[in-house]
Amino acid sequence: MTDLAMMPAHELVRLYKSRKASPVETTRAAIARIEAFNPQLNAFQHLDPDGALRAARASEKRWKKGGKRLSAIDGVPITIKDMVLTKGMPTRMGSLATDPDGPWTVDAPVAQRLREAGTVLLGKTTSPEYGWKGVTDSALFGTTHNPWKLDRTPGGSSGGGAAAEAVGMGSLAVGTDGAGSVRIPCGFSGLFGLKPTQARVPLWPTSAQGTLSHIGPMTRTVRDAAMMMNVMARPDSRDPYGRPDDEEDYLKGFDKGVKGLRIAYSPNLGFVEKEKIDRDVAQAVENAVKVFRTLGARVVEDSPDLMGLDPRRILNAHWQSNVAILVKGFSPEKRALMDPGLLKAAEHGANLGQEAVVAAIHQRQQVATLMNIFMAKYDLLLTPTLPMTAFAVNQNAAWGGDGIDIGWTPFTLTFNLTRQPAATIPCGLDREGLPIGLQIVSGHARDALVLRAAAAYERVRPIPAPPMAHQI
Amino acid sequence: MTDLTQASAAELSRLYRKGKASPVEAMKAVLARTDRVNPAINALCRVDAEGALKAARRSERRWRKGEALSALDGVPVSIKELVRVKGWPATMGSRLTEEAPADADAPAVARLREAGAIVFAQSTSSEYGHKGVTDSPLHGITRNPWNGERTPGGSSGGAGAAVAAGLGPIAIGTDGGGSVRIPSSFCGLVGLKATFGRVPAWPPSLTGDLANTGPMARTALDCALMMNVIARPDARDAHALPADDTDYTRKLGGKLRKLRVGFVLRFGDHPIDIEVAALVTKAAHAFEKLGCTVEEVEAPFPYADASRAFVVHWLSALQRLLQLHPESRHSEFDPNLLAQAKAGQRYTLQDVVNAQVTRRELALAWNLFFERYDLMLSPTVAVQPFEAGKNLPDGPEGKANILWSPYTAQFNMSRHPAASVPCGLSRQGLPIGLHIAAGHYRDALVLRAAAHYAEANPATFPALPEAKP
Repeated sequence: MTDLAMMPAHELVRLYKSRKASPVETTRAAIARIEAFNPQLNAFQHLDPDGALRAARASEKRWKKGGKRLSAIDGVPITIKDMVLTKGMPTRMGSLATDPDGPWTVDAPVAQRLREAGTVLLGKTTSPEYGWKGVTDSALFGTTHNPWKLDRTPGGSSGGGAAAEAVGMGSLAVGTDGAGSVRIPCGFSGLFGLKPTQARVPLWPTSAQGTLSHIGPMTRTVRDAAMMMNVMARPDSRDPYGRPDDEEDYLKGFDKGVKGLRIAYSPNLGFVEKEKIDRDVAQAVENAVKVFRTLGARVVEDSPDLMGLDPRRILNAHWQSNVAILVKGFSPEKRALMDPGLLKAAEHGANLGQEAVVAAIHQRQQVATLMNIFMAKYDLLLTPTLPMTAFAVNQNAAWGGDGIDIGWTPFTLTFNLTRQPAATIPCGLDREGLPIGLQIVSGHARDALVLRAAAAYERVRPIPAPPMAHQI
Repeated sequence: MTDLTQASAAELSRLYRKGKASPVEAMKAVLARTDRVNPAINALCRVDAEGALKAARRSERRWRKGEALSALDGVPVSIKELVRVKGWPATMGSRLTEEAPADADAPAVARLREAGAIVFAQSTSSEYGHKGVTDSPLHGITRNPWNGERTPGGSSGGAGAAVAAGLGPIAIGTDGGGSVRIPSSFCGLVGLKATFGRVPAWPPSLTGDLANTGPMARTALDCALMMNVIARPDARDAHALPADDTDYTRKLGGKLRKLRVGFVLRFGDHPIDIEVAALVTKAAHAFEKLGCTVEEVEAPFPYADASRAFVVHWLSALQRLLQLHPESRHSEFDPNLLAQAKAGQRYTLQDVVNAQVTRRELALAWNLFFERYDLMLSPTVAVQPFEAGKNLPDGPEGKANILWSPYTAQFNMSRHPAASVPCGLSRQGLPIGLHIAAGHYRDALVLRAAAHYAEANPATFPALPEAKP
């Protein structure tokens, strides 16, 4: 029988229903994997196997005859990133500067929804300090590794969630995405990841990164992400940017495919220098686009004209200035404990000057407007998720960068500026056997369409697990 | 026969349908009244009589054939000069703007045209809409038709004065800190700042997601008719909410009973005119007669922090004008605008980012308020309409009152829907406005509350005023 820990959540719950498997068995299988793999991967900041088993036993009762399950994913083991508040579990934001003693008295909306849904929380996954970079290491817990190749980063900042999810240390993972932090690790670690339309999954407490911040699912199948969205994407008054409650069922129309959809394929989004894009990445994405054509989509190669505006510069000004203020909120003693790279970014941000930042705020609106006008012609936009595949651990950025410039992930960050839904799905391996991601983007609030398109692609190009996942 | 300039859009539409009046007659009446009244109030800075009559004749044919495009077909509408109208320069009340005509309609204007409305005039604004009264270097002083010595408020003061004076029953204004609601209050109108994103806008405003395009009219029903048209989607607005096909007129009729109303007389430690306080308190308690429970409560967020955060947002945005226009021409700005833009330059990065953080906290506080209360009622403005041509009213001790408009901007920061509805006249015969706000996306509820209140408290107003030159 298949290992329950690697089984998609949507299949797990079917087994629960027919009582061929139980939440306790699944949780035990996930814990076994954590014991086997976590020493090498270092994906967790906090683990709670006892609490998880308690929750699993409670769920098991609900799945028994006469029981009332709380949701379609009742009893499914999950992990949540260390950036999201969880009651009774420490949230350290990957930082030595946060108080290790809590109190941990409240759930963020997404954690609350997932608990109300009866899921089993295994623990908190690693993040770099305050999610500041697109890789995952910190002075608090060390370095997180990529299950596809241990000397590589899983990406970040939701790198712990991605590493855990890829090898079955949990069935579903929650990440956060301020410039690509769900899509980068899913791209580098070979998973599906969705950055929903901004605030579609409510966010609280408000992030230092304001409306750049998003929360999204990271999964091994697209359907599992849709099931998570059905639970997570429900309104909560604590998010002042919360969207109208549209009661969307993300599984409705999920299997309708992409036939007839108008799709723009943009190999470089109109502004990324072609020589910066790895040739294997470019080829794999090109091949994936052909699949969409085969599936009956009307694909044209087209790129938005951003009129000389560079999303990389605009996003850098936003997040650098935001971390400048974040860091200022700590005492000098606490600051001394913080990641030197983050401090350097903050210093850089503090020197930007407010005129430059106000200009960047205006330019963000212009980019969003231009993208909106572009998207009016198409249902979907396809791009690479990243210009490269997973690079070595313990570097702050690709290409030997210091991480202050987040511009190495231009495809993801553009859609944090515009707040559009954007997902990544694996579309092949590079010459070293590392995963490559295809980014699928749509217009605001069309998250369900992104899921539907990803599902269509997944049906013909299923998502492979890393070899490590089979070595138990 | 009825004076067509006194008819609401809904009434015009009914007369058109029955063949008792035609769009050409209505347009001619409005143009004639404009000729007579506008010189005294200076509400409209551009009138396209020829184009308007052409459009009216087309509309007349549609009504005759039973092919009217909407209930607003053939209804004259004016557009604030901050909003683009194809073929007209977007003058922004400024001597520094381009003379070149706009090459596209803003979304609200495009929707109104598609609905058959007659875009007949452009209304005045303070320069770039930067202040809550209406005078500008380009167009001079706009006056309140209720009393020509007084300001109609602003920055959509031209729109407010025009609608109050019968120069078209409906108008498009914009509201970045109260600029639809303040003139609606001062001119005795209903004006709505919808939930941010509900009414698509383009191009992006200087003041970003504080800015809203909104309807101004003499009745809530007319605002609802406008919302049915202008809330439709437009791809050019990246913040636009998904179209939800709400029928705002149908929703006006819904029940108001059992709503929980939080009445906030003061938002903090700011003065309030005694007559404003009395009339608004009376109006708030009138909601009890409508079946609501009314509780007198405090504002959920410290006023000084909210106010400071708004000012930092506002002035730091205005400073962009100094970057966008050559320094050699800065002296041509309204001195008040120039001073504010320069103050904006002096903020630090910390000030700007802190203001954003405060804004999110304020929005959260109001969100939680709207979990407890369906509606928030307050005055729209803390003072009566004051002397035209002044930036600020006189305060109690001969000093200028800088806290005269403490209510409206909080809902620009929090993005909640908020309207002003007339609730009586002061002893001097000047209109006072009741401010009605609700949770996000409950725009229809705000209009319904305004409509029910107005229906239950009729005859608040004398006949429409003539301007005193």
